[in-house]
Amino acid sequence: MDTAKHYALIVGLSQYPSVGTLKGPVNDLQDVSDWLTKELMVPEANITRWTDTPKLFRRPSADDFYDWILDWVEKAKQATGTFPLGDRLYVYYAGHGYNATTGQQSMIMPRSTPETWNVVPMVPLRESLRLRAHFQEVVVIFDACRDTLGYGVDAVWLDQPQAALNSNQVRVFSAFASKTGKKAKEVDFNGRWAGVLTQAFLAGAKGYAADENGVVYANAMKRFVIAAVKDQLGIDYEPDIDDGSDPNDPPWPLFQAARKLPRIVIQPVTVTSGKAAFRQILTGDTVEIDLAAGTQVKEVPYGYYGLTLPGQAEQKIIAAWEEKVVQV
Amino acid sequence: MSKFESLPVMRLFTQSTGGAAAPRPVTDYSLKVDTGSSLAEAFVIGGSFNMVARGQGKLDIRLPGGEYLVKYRTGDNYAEQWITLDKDVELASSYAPVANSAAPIAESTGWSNEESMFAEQLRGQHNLSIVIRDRNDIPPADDVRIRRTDGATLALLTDPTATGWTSRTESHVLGMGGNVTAGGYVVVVSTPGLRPYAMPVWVAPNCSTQVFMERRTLGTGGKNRRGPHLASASILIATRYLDWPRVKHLMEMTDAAKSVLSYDRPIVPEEQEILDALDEKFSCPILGLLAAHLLRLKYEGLKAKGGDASKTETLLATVVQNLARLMPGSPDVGALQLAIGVPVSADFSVPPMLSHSWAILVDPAVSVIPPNSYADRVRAAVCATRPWLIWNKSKMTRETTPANRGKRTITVDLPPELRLAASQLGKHLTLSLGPDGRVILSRRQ
Repeated sequence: MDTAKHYALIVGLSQYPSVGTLKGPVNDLQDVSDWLTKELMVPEANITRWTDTPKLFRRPSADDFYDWILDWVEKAKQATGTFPLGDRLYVYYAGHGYNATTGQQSMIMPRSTPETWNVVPMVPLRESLRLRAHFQEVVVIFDACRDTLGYGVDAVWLDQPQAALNSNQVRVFSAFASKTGKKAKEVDFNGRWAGVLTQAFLAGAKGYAADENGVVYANAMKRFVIAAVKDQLGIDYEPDIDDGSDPNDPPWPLFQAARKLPRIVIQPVTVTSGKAAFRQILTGDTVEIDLAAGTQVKEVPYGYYGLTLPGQAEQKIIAAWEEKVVQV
Repeated sequence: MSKFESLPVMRLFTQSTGGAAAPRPVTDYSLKVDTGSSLAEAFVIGGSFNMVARGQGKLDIRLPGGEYLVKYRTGDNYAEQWITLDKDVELASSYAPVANSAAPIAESTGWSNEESMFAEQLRGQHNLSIVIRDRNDIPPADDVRIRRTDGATLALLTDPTATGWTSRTESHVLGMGGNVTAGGYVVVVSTPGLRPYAMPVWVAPNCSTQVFMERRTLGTGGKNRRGPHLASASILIATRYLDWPRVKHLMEMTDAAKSVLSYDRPIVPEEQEILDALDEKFSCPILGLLAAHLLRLKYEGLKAKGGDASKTETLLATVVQNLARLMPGSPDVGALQLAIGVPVSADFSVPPMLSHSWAILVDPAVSVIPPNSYADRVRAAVCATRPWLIWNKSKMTRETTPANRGKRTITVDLPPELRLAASQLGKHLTLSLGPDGRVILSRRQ
């Protein structure tokens, strides 16, 4: 994976004068930026960042997205090759969003007011990129709500390119924080607010969703992120992810990263003696945990586990995040 | 940094998480899941989050013994249960969630038998009726109107007798019904202090159209009021003379299909259920309409992945043909005819009921909505709702009449997609066409 040929547009918007302030997007933008530059080693020059623009907060707007696409179109004219501009393009967005009638999941730009609606529909934007086939792969992350707003105007996307001949070869991974009609969530991660989808995606990409060989496959990433988000927020907050692979296709490697194992911290608080049974659901293998030994940290492959305390029914545990504290 | 950083870490269960290969030989067992609805899905998830099986309606599979998470989905309602497969297992439908509904589809939605029968009597006596339920109170007569697209009010819930309609209350349910000629109508809900919203409904020959709404706390622009919630309405269009179990089944199916379509799941009812809904004597055109859009989603999904879509395409064509017979003139049916490329016979001056139909009609490549028609004037006011098409009535474009033609009405000369874009530019900017046909962006005077 030659990340020198990876490019990114990353957008994190927290300040919306008329829609409401968010706590997480600017933090998420920083995390995604750090991951791209420091872990994936994507060149700084390949990354476009858009964030809050004081004092009026009227940028970015839908026009900036059109300009950004037109810039790629100009660059593609000068370039050659099957996928002339690079191996992969990341489009990341954290901010306010809603579900438009025809455009569906749409970014709300900060200059929006109920009277002056300025939005960018994510799927048509993604399709504009896919159809042009400037990049071999497109990774789209949309960490925003998809609820329906009574005052939200249906979004219109005026870029409708002809499909390039090889556009059906472009692989696309899309992750949306919630399904149609649902809200996305940002939560306090150890004193720092961030989007749950973004943090789950970053955890998986950094190695928590990697296999023994350090490969994060797209299908593994999908199931990892879904489980991680549900672990944080509950079953009603399942993200909407398309891993871009057909069930009959071989797995598509998304990232290479040193494999990391989630840590389960078992912290006896009320049950401080006796033995607990800790079981891997996948294999049924069980180990005994001496609760009198105090807090214990276990590193395990991601997946479902069962913990049975003396005289109690088994409780299920999801191991996905870097650390999960289970107080017993 | 974690406060547990200094503790020793023990690594457990280091074997593969791939899930495809079981770590040791195990016996296979049968797992049968019945979700109770052909529109509900069941997923079986393995210990490393991997999906090992998926089914729609029913699932019948053999799996290696072990523990699995069974996930149910109806539209966007979920339920989960863990199962141990150490013998053959059959799971009944009681765990699967029912679709969200404002209609009396199930005891779990809280309707009393008297309320359900009251609604059904209203449906039997009138070919167009509105039923409003308040879970906590006796519903007051809200400002709910049924209008024709020429603006005339046909019925007004606050004073139904003035328009020849009947209105009655049964416990927590208020209903209003009347008889109208087949065609398109508009339901307008105005809650004091909030914007008025409108939704089209279609009345089909020999059928009764019934709109169910629940009173909820509504809010726009920081104001909260209680009133009928239009976007979550349940709508039944079905033959008038059916027995209650059949009506209830059709309501369940229709609301499940509505929920699935709202979330763009390409999940289609069983073929026989669709064909039954289009049967001349026991028809339920709204279920056929929702199923047609679901078939279309499935068809497009299959086509995009290079799969065999011919069976779906044939069924879709049959459904659309039958719908054209049951709902003559309906713009929803016309949109489907356009989508599958068959001759179109529809009144596109009336907005369709479904936002999925609307998306077809406003495609710049289609351009079938007559300029200055009611449907055309709705364009800039459409809200982001699913699956019903709803608009903010106060944002509708003014009708162009001989008296106001020429006075700031230049936007009617723009292509539809530019008019929509112009409406989103706000009050300071405007788009217009120059004499050479070029689009001009200018500041409003």
